[in-house]
Amino acid sequence: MTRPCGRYSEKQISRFVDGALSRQALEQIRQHLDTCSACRDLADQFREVTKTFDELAAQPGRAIDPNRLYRTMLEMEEKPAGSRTGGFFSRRFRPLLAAASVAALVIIGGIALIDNTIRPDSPSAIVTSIDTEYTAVMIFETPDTHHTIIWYSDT
Amino acid sequence: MDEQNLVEQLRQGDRKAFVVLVNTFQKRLLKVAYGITLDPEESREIVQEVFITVFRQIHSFRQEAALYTWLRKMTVNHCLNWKRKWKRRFRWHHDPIPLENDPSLSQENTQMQTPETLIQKKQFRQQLMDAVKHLPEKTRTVFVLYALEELSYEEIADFLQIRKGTVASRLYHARKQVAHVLNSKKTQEKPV
Repeated sequence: MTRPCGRYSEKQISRFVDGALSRQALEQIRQHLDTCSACRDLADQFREVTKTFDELAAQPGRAIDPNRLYRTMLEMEEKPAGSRTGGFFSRRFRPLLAAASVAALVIIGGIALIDNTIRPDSPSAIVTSIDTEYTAVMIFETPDTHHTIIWYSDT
Repeated sequence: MDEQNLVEQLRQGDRKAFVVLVNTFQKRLLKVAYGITLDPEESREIVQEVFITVFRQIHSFRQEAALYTWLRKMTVNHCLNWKRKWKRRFRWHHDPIPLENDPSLSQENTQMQTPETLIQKKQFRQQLMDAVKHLPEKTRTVFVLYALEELSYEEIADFLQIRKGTVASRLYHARKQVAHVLNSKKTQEKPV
């Protein structure tokens, strides 16, 4: 980052960029920038930071479908509390799911003890995750060894 | 449909009004949420929650401020709570596995850019977002409200219940950290 010449601090240049100084101070710095390339470069860099972040944050993602969201909302309202989670993740299957997850963890742990290519400090990434009212299941994978880990939690 | 009308229709539980609400505000809110969480899927989830909450609580909206101001306030609050969930904490600390068909790359590909340029752009984006990610959450929130929402110091101070001097200070620290990334990119680009 460019350093200011010393007459004004970086913080003052930052406030100048925002116009958040007295009119007199703004005018003084504006005049100074006409002759000082270091302070001018810094002000330009600060402006560019804002502009670039604004551009990057506007990257297109998946749009929200309002009709689908409306339907989801109605479905949530129709189901009485306590019965919103159905199928495999319902209360009935919770003990089974917990046991299966523990078994998976034990197996994976056992393999990890035998297979020394698994590095516990390897970074992992989520492949998928499922959240319900009562449980959360996350499946993630180590990028190098592609070992799959299943994580289960009561929410 | 003007805002007064939209609010009236929402109060009556009108489906069309809900569609208008989502279509009108989702782009801006997704941008704010993404600026704070830096996770497109989480942002989407948060903004969806906001729309549902607004639809259910529209009766409590007193129209003292614009509807968007209320939506934005709710979005920022949701975002500031987002890391409480353990799954979200995990995501925050771990990078996703890169997709083979990265949509951002394929989209840019249509603009006839070389693979080298695409990779450089992607790396730069990653570096800049990493710099933003390492900002303290409160600093990042101020930066988002300023850079993306173009709020003034007074508006940010009022929004977050902090002093104007604190806003100035947080903005300065955010800029300083992110400017380092921009600067190192320019140094790398200079011909030897």
